[in-house]
Amino acid sequence: MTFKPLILLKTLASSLVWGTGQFLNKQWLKGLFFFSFFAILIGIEWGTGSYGEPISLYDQMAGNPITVETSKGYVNDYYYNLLDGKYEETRLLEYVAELNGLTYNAELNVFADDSGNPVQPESNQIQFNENDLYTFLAAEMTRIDALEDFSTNGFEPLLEYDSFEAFQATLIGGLGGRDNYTTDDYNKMLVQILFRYDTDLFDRYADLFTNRFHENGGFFVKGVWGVITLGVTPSRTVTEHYDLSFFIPDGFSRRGVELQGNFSQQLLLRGIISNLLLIYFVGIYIWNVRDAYKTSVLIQANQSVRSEKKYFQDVYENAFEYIVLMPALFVITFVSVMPILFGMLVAFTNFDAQHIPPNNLFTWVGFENFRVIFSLSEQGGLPFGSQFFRVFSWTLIWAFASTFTVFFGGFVQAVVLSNKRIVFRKAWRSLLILPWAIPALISQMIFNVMFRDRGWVNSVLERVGVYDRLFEWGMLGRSYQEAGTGLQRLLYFGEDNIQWITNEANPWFVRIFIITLNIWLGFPFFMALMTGVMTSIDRSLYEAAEIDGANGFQQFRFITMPLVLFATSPLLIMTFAQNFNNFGVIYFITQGGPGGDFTTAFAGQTDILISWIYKLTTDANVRWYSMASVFSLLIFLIIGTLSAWNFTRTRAFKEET
Amino acid sequence: MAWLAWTVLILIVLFTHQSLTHQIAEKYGHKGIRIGFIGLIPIFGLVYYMKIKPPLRPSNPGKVKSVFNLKNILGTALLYTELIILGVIVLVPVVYVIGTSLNPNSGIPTSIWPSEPSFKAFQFLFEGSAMYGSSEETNEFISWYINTLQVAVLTMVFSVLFVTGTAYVFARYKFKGKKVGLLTILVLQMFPSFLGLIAIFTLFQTFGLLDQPLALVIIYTAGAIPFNVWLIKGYLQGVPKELDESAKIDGANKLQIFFRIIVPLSVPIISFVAVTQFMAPWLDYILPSFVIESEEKWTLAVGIFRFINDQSRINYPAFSAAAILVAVPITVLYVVFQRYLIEGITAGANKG
Repeated sequence: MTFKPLILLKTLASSLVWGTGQFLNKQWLKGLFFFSFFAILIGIEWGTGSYGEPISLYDQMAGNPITVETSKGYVNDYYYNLLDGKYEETRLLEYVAELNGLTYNAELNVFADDSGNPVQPESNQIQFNENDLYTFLAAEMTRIDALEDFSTNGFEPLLEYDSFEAFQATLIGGLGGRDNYTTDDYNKMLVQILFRYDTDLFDRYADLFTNRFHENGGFFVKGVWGVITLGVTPSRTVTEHYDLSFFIPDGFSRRGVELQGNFSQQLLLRGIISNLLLIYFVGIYIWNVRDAYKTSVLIQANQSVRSEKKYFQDVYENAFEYIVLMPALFVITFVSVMPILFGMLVAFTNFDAQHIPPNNLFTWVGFENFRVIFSLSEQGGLPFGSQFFRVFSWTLIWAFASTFTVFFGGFVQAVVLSNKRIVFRKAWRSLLILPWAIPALISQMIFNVMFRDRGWVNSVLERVGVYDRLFEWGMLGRSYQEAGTGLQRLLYFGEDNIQWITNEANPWFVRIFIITLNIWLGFPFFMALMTGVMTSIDRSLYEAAEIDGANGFQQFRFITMPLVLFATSPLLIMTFAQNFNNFGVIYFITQGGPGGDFTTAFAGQTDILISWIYKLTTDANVRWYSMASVFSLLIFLIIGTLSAWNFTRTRAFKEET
Repeated sequence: MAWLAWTVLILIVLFTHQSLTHQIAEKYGHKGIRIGFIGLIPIFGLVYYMKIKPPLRPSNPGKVKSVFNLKNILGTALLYTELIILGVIVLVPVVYVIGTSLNPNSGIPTSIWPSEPSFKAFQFLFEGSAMYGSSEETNEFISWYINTLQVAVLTMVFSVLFVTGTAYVFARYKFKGKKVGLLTILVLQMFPSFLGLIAIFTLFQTFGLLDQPLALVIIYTAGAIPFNVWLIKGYLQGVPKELDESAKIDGANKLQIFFRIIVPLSVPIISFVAVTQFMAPWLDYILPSFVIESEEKWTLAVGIFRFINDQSRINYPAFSAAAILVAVPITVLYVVFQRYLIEGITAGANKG
């Protein structure tokens, strides 16, 4: 006999407040365990948020807040200045008296309470805060005639005051003499006065800049809100207070007051982090609810329940793998997966040079960026569509050609090295492996220096007379505009020098050059690998072949070649993927050039996708993050699919199944 | 340039001679590395093995003669021509960079070897400043070196810590989500870490890590996990499981098995991971160039590239000298450990 409602009740209890279901089951330890996670979750949210606190528009502004102390000091200064006869206006003190339920006698210049006892301005009976100060000053503003006609041209209003200076003194008063106020502070003060005076304006700004989620929300709430909205308010600079700038004391100037907006990219990032963290908590939550349910069922059925100590021991034994994996999983989640997720999400936004937060927020645009590319259109005047396919096809050509040349280059060299006639084979091998051993980054930079227009290679070629021949044949000496067409253009080497890496008129020259250069960098790896494979081939195969009358070439053709190619071909896909993303060769040797300005969406003639992405991301003048992310996503799809497919074919993977 | 052509020609003849000597000596039953050296002595080498040194085993005169047939000589010469020309091509950039580093002027050199070699560039790097022409140039090479070294050591330590445990679990235990995990790791491994550059930049910005070289360690460590987990996992699968089981019977728990059995057995592969992780920060340009701004906080790769790329600090000899200082230790390591390194790289693709 089971009381279903009781089971449901306990499950429900756990699903609302974690661990309570376990408490109801009298499993105190377990209940505490789950409850502590609940407490952590709520604690993080509460601790990082500011629930219940009022939101002030002024918190978003540059400049120091005026504190209660300064406001009181202001009253004091004012009081004593009046005593010294510097001011004549007494309205501030009257206002202060009224505010505190006192009276102010202007003739005697004293405060008095109900029973007529004098009160010193410094005393605690007089309270005067920032808010009161601005309310007063704003009220004073309405007393100025023709205020509606304020212009920004330094106009002085008609005043009820004896002189403008007297009013300015009222306004700025004791604050004017304080050294620790900056231009920002005075401008902020003016804005505050203006806002008290013009409450409509204040409301408009307050609506924009006091978002509950953004200001009060904690880690998780703000995170979810951030991912959904990507921020709602860009930064704005308030300039309306310029009308009042004649109140600013000498030595300071008017300046816009910036209202801090939302940073879309930070909201997105925090959002991803908090959502990823939430996933961990959701996992524990599900565990908690399921446990409450299962245990309740067991108790209802009067079956024995494992002791809690035993339970946690079992959990540890079973979860050992997960516990060991935790740290790595944590790091990978937040440092590898998170950035990739971020990049993927940016592909669906318009995060580009025209939308750089906080001045211009970016927002979700769905598949718009993909549409631009696949319909060959432009974005922001940059022809991303057509350029993508140009760069993509060159990337493919590059990846195929460089893999092929390097693979077979290495193969040929391995065959040469394995020839029996060669003495000191190891020494030769060590010499030829140098390009692989020298850090690629360094050799790529060296090539960049060697093959510059006025670099060493060209000076050698000029000295040995190659230049003369080239001039004679017309491959050098013509200007860009006269590079010609067809074959003539393909044989155009440059104007005054051979332009190995800068030949704008003949990009194929540079492309072929760079593929050739890449052989230097890449062949030794395959050479070393293949000589290793060759020495491990069973000698008896060759002996048997010899007995059957096979000559040297036949042995090579039917034993060496198939075995070596078979053993090394799995690496082809890896090498292809590497070359597809071979940033170094392109960036350090040609920097993607020649070409690459806004007419080609900043993609140079030798740019492959990855170096183009780098340019779109890092160049301060470009910053087209959305498109860079779209391309990253496409690379992810291509390379990820390729390597996953390659992997599922390996023995290792099949063994796992 | 003519001298180069002559040198190549002489080398071809010399090495062909060496090879022929070797072929004959082998026919007479001689073995060992000595033949190669004697073969390098022109004419004498050949004569020595044909006439002077008594053969260890009699050989058919026809066979010996076959060494001297035109086809064989030409074939040998052709082989060596290829090897020597390739050797020259391989060595040219090396010689060029050494020559450039000895150049006393900061401009781009047009001859491979300076007419007045000097160690000025090295001095410039170590002392931090030098006069080039009438203007004083400065650099922060020593800081770059220290930064890189710190990042490298920390990356090495953390990578090994993170990778070994993870790999052990993947290699030895079956659990839910293992396959998904392995596939994820594999796909992640295909990603150059800078595809997440904007995110990393924003992340660093949010946590105030911009312009701090040590923050790079986090990224490098995370980036190292996928590939190296893969690698060590492959290695551990080659360690017999019976060892674990007998330890388990003796009462060891999973953690003890790991520290007492697995770690000592996988020292070679762990040191491989340690060495490669130590080297990685020396050669990474993209990440530090993006998140580190102040000159004294750069890593070496950034600093070196600025010597040839940043108009205000162009200095080719300094570039070359720095490149040599960075490249020599790494190159030596690679040449010495080439076999293990290549095995390591291919392990991921072949064995999985």
